[in-house]
Formats: sequence, C-alpha cells, structure tokens
Amino acid sequence: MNKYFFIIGVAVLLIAGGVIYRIFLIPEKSKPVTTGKIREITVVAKKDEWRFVPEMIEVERGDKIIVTAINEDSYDHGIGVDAFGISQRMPANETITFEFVVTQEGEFPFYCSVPCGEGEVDGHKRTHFDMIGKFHVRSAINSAQ
Amino acid sequence: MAKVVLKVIGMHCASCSVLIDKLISKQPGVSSIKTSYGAEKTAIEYDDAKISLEKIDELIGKLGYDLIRPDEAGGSPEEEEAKQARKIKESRRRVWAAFILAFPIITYYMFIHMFNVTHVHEFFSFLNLSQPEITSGGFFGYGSYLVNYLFYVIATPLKFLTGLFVDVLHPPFRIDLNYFYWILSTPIQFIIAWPFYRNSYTSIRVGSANMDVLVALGTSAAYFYSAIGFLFFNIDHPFWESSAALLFFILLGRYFEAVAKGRASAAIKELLKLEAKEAHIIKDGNEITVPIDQLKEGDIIVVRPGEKIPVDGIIIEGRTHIDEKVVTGESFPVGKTVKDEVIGATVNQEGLIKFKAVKVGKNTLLYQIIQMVEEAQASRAPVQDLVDKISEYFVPAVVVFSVLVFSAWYFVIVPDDLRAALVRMIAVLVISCPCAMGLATPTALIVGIGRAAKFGIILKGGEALEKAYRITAIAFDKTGTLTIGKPVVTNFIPLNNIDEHEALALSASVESGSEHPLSRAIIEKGKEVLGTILEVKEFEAVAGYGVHGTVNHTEAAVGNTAYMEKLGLDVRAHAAKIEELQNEAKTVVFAARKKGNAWEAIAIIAMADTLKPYALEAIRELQRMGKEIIMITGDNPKTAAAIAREVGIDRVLAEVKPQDKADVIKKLQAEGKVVAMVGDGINDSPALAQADVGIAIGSGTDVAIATGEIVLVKDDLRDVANSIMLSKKTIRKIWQNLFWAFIYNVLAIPIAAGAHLLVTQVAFGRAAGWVILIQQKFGGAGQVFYNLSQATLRPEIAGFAMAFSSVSVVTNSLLLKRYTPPLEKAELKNKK
Repeated sequence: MNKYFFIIGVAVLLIAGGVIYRIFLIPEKSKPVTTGKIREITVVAKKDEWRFVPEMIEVERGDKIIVTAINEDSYDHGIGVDAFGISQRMPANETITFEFVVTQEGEFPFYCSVPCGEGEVDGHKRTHFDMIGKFHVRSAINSAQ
Repeated sequence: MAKVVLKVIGMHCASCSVLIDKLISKQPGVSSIKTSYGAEKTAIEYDDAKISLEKIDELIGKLGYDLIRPDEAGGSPEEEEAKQARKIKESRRRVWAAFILAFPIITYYMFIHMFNVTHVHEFFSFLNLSQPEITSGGFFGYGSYLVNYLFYVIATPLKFLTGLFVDVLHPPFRIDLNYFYWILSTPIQFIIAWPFYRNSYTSIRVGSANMDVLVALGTSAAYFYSAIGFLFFNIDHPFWESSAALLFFILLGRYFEAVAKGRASAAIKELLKLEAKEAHIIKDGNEITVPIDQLKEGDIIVVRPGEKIPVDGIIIEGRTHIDEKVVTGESFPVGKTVKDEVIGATVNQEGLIKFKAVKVGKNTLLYQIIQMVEEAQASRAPVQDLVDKISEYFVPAVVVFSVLVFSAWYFVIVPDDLRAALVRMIAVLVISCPCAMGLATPTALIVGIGRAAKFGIILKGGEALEKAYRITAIAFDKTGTLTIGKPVVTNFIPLNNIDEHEALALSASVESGSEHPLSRAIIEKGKEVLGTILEVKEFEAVAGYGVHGTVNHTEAAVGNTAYMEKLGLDVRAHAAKIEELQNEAKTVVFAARKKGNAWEAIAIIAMADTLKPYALEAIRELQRMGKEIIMITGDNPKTAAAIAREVGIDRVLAEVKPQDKADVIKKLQAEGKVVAMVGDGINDSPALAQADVGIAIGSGTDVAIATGEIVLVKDDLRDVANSIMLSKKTIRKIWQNLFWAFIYNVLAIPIAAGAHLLVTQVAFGRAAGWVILIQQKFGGAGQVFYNLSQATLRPEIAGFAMAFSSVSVVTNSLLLKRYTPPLEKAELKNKK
C-alpha cells in the first residue's frame, strides 16, 4: 500500500481527533477563554541593564494583551513567549507592538530571544540570560469573585 | 536463472536501496535482489526467460537511478575512476557553493549565539561598528570581544566601498541584514539543494519515503516560515539561516561519504590497476604484442624480467623468481620453473619465461578476488537491514508525529494558538532527518571490509563480518592448514662418522630421480643446505622400498628399514632412535652407500609434515582471545596428537573422514558453540559451508575459496585472529554509529515537540515541584535549569546538532582506517 495514503489517513484522523476534542471533549477549565477585554502593557528593555521592566506581568485569563515593547538599548533584543508562539524582534532603539490572547491560566515566562551580551549593573553581573520575565495569568472568575 | 552483481548509480541514501529492492523484487521473474547503498551495488537473481536485464534497468531508471549493465559497462578501471572522481568533484562543487553562501550566515549566527554578542541587525550599523573594547572578562566577554573585532575587520573595508556610493554615517535608508541572508539562503534552498526535491518527488511517486522527503520537508518548512515570518511578522529568528546550515551539513556529509566510498573501494581499484595492459605472445613462431583482453587460453606468452605476468598459466620454459605480493601478500619472491603456476598481475623479477595461458579474462585469480570483494561489498549485514527498515518507517513516523504535535498544541495544550503549534511542528520536522542513521552501517562496513582487504583478508559480505566476532570455537583442518601439507626433513642424523654435508649430498642427489613427496623433501633439504645437488646415474626406484643410483661414482641408496635389510644392512642398532622418531609421528628412512662390496648406513633421515610458520603464534593468540581451538583431521591419532602437542591444541578429532567433517562441525554447534572452520581443501568445503563462518586459506583449492566466507589470501594463520579482531572492531563501530545517530533523534525530537514539559510542568504554565526545588537549591545553575526546562528547543539550534551527528558518524567510521590488528602491528614492526 502506498505509504502516503497511510500518512494522510493518520494525519486526517489526528486532526479530526483534535477537532472533536476541541469541540466536544475539552474540559471546562482548558477551554480557551476570550473575554474580549483589552489590556495594554508596556514592556521596556532597560538601557544596559539586561532587564525587562516590569518582570512580572499580571493579567487575567481571556485578556487580549497588546504589548508595546520598547528597546532602549542601541543593540537588538527580542521577546519570546513560548506558550503562545510569540517571538518578536526588538530592533535597537525602536518600539514594537504585538498582541495575543492569554487563553490559558498559568505562569508563562517571556524572555529575550536575541543574544545581547552582558555587563555589570550596580555591582551585579547581568547577562542576556537574566532577561526573563513572567506573565502570570490569573483565572478571570477567581479575580472577579 | 542468472545472478549478477551490478553497479547502481545515483543512490543518495539508505532508503534508495530499499526503494529499488522493493520495486524490483515485485517484478515477475526476479527471485531476489539485494541492493547496497554504501557499495553502490545490487545483486540480482532473476530468471532471464521471464525478465530481461534491460527491463530491470529501465525500471530502476524510472526510479531515478541508473543500473550499469555489463554490456554498457565498458567500465575500464580508468573510466570507472574518472566517473567516481567526477561524482566526487560535483559533490565538492555543491558543498563549496553551499559553503560560500551559507558561511556568512552560519558564522554570524554561530558567533553571536556562542558568545552572546550584542549586535544590531542592520547593515549601516554593522558598517559603522567602532573598534571594540573589552567590557567584561570570562568566556563570553573575551569571546564577544574577538567576534566584534572580526566583525570590525570585515566591516571596515566594506564601509569604505559602500562609502563610495552612499553616505554611510548618515544613511538615507536602512537595510536589514536579514535581507542579505534571505538572498544568500534562497539559492541554497532551491538550486544547490534541488536534488533533494527531485529525489523526494521520485520517492513519493513510488509510494516510498526516503530521507530526502524529510530533508525537503524540514528545510522548506524552515525556509518558508522564516521568509514569511521575517517579511510580514517581525519574528526574532528567521531560521533560513538554519535551513542553509542544515543543507550545507547534509551536503558536506554526502561529500565525505562519496570520498569515503571512493577510499573504501580503492582496494578494488588498486587490484584492477595491477593488471598488465599487454602481453607478448608467440604466434606462428613470431612474437607479437597484443592487448590483454585478446588473450586466449592456450596462448604461449613470453614475459621478460621486470614485466608483469598478464594472466594465469603454467611455465613451459625458463626459470625465474616472481614477486607475488600483490596476489598472495607474500613478501619474498618465489622461485618458479617449468610446470610451476604463475599468477596474473604478479611481477617477473629475473629470468625470461614462456608460459601457457590457462585462465584468461574474468577467470584469472585476480578477477576472482576482485569479484569476491565486490560481492562482499554489495552484500549487507543483517544489522543494516534493520537500519534500513527503521529509516523506511522513520519518515512516516516523523510526519505523523509532527501532525500529532501540531494537533496536540493547537487543540489541546494551547487551544487555538496557531503560532505555538506551528513552531513546534517545524522544529520536529527540522530535527528528525535520519541521514546519520542511514550512514551508520554502510560507512563502517565499507571501511572495515576495505581495511581487511589491505591485510589480505577478504570478507565475503557483512554477514561474515557480523558472525566472525561472535565465534566461540575455531576448528582447524590439520593437513595443509595448520601444517604445510607436505613432508619436510626434520632430523638428519649422520652415521658412521661421515661428514653431514657429504651424507646429505649423496642422499639428496640419489633422490633427485624421484617425484615422490618424501624424495622431494630430501631434495629440498639438500638444495637448502648445499645449494646444488649432483647428477644421479643408473637411477632406479624400488617400489615400496626406496631409491637407488650412482652419484659421482658412488653407489647410494635411500629407503625404509625393509630396504636396508634387503640390501643386507643391519640397522637394528638404531632401533631405539627410530622408535623415538616414530613416536613423534615422523617417517624415518635410511641413507646408505656402498663401500667396497658392503653397504654402509650413512644417515637416518626423519621427515614429517611441519607446522606452517606462525601457526603457533596464531593459535596462542586465539586462545588468548578465549576461543576454543579444535583440530580436525583424517590422519591417525598418533600423528594428530604429535602436531596438536606441538601447537598446543587440547581437543583433537582424528580419523575423521572427509564426508564426516561437516557432521563434526554440526556436533560442535550442537554443543552451543559458534563455530568457525579453517580449511583449505576440497574435502574441507562441506565443513566450511556448515560452519557459522567458513575461513578458507588462500593457497587452497578454488572450491574452498568459493565456499569460505572469509578468505585469507596470505596463507598466514595469524590472519584468523586478525579477521576476528577486525570484524569485532567494525561491528563495534557500527553500534557506536547507530548509538550516536539514534540518541540524537531520540532525545531531540521529544524536546522539539515540547514533550519534556509533561515532566517539568504539573499543568501547562506551572513548573513541577522538583524543578522549583532544583531552582531554589542550586542558585544560578538552578535558575538556568529552570529556564531551560520551561522552554522548548529552538529549531535553528536543533539544525546544527543534527548535521553534526551525520558528520560525527562518517568521521567515526573513517577512524577505522587507522585500525591495525595487534598481530599485524607486531609484524610490521618486525619488518622494520
């Protein structure tokens, strides 16, 4: 039998399974929540500090987040949020915006995804690898209570 | 039924050989086909009444490969070599083109990532780089300083050149560096790597899945994601640079492979080159020179000193020494005269000889050896079948898995988030190239078999190689294998105060009229000690007793005790000595001369079949390796025991009839042993076939050589140990290769899919307790672990590692070329 019929068959089954799960089986708490609420957040890559400010961003599940990312440095940074497939470049001295919906609750790290060196800040060594922050997505229902 | 081993051109991966086997074996009339990717050969067994070779060629041609039929071959060694060289050259061109285009991208990204360099992705900023200064120490500090310096050195002349056209300091426009990389990577993707697309199309058409499908799928996914992402979505890491790197590494791997193949088959090429081009034949009394392929059996050929013997034959005139090293590996020239055999491709050193051609064309020993090596390289080790099967299932598995990953991320983990799902799917596709797996076995086998051939060990196929290292017991045939196979004089005891040389001269000379093996032994001894022997007159052979004749006016005789008594000579005084010698399984004769009217005994001559040189070392080495040694012989127990004692073998099976030898091997196998049989004669052939590994001694009969799975060309028993060691080494290489190839895929694919998050997170977006514990307990390192554990593998990094695993496999195999078995090493040292 042609292998590709098999592959296509299985692929269709997998996708169909996914669709069925998504429509009928998904547990209530995993269902993506979209509240339509818009939350604007500004993240700044501080000049020569290898730090995002703020490092902890509290949002509510279902929010549509519009991030304005400002790069104060004269070199490139990037911002990545693995969980939501975000990986954006922050060119030197520029401001970018991007948006995504936090449909799940949990703690999702965001980090600088472009190598950006290291240096000393207030006697402490900081590097590219320290440029990490967190989206804390709270349950919309809990916070409403 | 016809069986052929032919060259197939155009195979580029292990899946290709599976593809050919699969399609051709389905054809009516084809009973078996085995194709080897590594050796570029296929062995087809087919019924020529039902299917023609042309038809098979056509079918293979449809798949995109080319079968070289014997009629279109014309494959002279030079052409063959030129073809190979062209292929390597083309492969090298591709690598260079890919290298030149990919180099800037690879270095830029590699250095930046490796040393965490602050950088700006913009052309004019790059040009305006100022001379860097060290800002911090440590690995990253110095590293990024050096990289920045490199960038500065590159940027300065570029700045000058660009400055001729634009004001660099105040650029009127901005160019993102990614545009350059895009322009560089596009030709790699679609021109240099075009064969991958072409091959995967062929493969898909016949419903097979080879690795090119994955390469094409993975790299195009990466390329298009990058191009679209960069142009429209401002992604931070366009990974066309990694697709370029990946393609470059795969092409480099293929190039290495082509070179490795060329090197491995160099043994055959060397053999082909050895052949003489022309021969001088005597025709109608005149000597004419003809090309070697026009020689016929029965031609009388003249060979002058320094020339090569063109074909196999028998000397009819002349006497010379011939250097047979090329065929037998024997380093000393062998003296030859009328009635001796000569072998094609060997070099006549001294005298002019005339010989009659006995075997010409493809029947010569040289060609047989070449054919054996070729067949061996075309056959495949069972372990390779496994690998090929895995490759064949691997592709669909990966494609299905990537869909599963997409489905899982898109529908279950982060529902409705297309980007997260897509990135992981692409990462899985990029990582899963199985090329290292496809390379693991063939490269090691080819190098191993080629290496063995260098030492005069012909391994007929991967199967022999694989079984050889599992051997637990080795059975040796006695006569002709452990021993020389003909008697030699072991003791020469002069009697009655006669000078030893005089006695020997008389004995040897009187024997010179006889052709009996015992006589030859005495003659040999005489020649060895004295140089020449005298002429015998009035020679007479007395059947069952001995010989008699006149040498230099002295009447002399050599014969057994009975003969001496017949001559009226009392030899009872020597009875004790005779018994002692006979207990050592020696044949004893007397030499006597006539003094006046009475006979006088002049010597006791004892003869026996003796051990071959190095037999002792060989057995000792094998015993040291923990192998059980058994001697099988048709001889009587006394003779057998004498030899066994001498060589140190404990287990002797004597008086075994030729037809029972195979049964004896069967019994040994029933004891749970993996048995190798070492033999040389036609009578050993059934045993050679019955044994798990048949090892034929090269000086043996054609039948034995044809039956044995391993042939020792050099007639040196130490090669038994050498071949076991070599095969062990080769098999170990294969497993190492497989390990490196698999471990990478096994570890990297799940990580690329994000499956490790199942362990490191309790719920999505919530780190597991143990991860947090490590983070708190181990300070900085704990934090790094925490960050890594919560992130997924980025495709561009995966690409580097993937290509690297291919290169490491090929390099690992090539290292086998440096392996010399310990015995061989010692031998080489001795020669120096």
